[in-house]
Amino acid sequence: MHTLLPGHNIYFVELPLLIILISLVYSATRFEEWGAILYEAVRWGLRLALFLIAIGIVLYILHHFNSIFLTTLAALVLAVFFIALNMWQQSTGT
Amino acid sequence: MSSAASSTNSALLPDRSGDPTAAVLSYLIPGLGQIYQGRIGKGILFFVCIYTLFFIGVYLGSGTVQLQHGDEVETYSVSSNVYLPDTADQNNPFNLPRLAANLYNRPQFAGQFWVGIAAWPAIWQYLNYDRRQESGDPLLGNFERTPSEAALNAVHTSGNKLLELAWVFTVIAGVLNVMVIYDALAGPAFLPVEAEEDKTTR
Repeated sequence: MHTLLPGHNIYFVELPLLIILISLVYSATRFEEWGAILYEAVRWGLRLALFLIAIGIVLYILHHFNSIFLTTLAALVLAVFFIALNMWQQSTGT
Repeated sequence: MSSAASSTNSALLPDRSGDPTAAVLSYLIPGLGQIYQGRIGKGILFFVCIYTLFFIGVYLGSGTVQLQHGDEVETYSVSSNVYLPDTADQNNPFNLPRLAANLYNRPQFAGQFWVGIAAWPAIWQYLNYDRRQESGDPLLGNFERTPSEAALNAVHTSGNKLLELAWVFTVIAGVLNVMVIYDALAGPAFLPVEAEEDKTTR
């Protein structure tokens, strides 16, 4: 078997690379100017990273506490956080 | 300077009615359609990003392991995770046509296909697959050839999560290229302001 870097962790090499490349391509299909492309790429990259971290937190709680109640509560808190973040972004135009 | 640069870019944008030649070129090689239109920077960006995703996926999804069976050491190899196995005879719950059943059994290839020429060896291997040829296809060898079930099992059980992440890379590369093809066909989703004004006054 082989890996890109010996003994590395996919969460620090492949996953960030995946997020960066997806964000760049996605934003370049939405905008034409480089400034807008890079701004949108950073925004999408952060959103993707936050979303994946949120899923990671929910799975960690499910695994560590083995409680459906706590897991549902965490999922609801994170869903409210994302809705609030979206509303804030829309209101500030960022 | 920036407005001059952006107005130059606007002039290069395809008409909203579509540029099929550029779309086909972008299907064949990601970003080639944009380069053909003169949007060279964006074309190179698409080419580098999509081929990086795709070939890293191919690289991570391949592997060789050696397993000891008694006194014998057997080597199992998986050359790539881009392949379409002919499994319609083994599983076809909806009586689909052969190709559709094979895609139903390996839906990843429906995404990988859109990366263009880079996925064509898998189509060649699918059309010319002969289980008895252990050395693979005379032209392409084992590249993008359906691996044997024993090889898949051996490599997967010896590997780690990377193998699962690997096909995600290749599928995402293909699916992103659909957006790149659309960008070549009709331009970006949001046009620069002066290009928008230009199109409305035409």
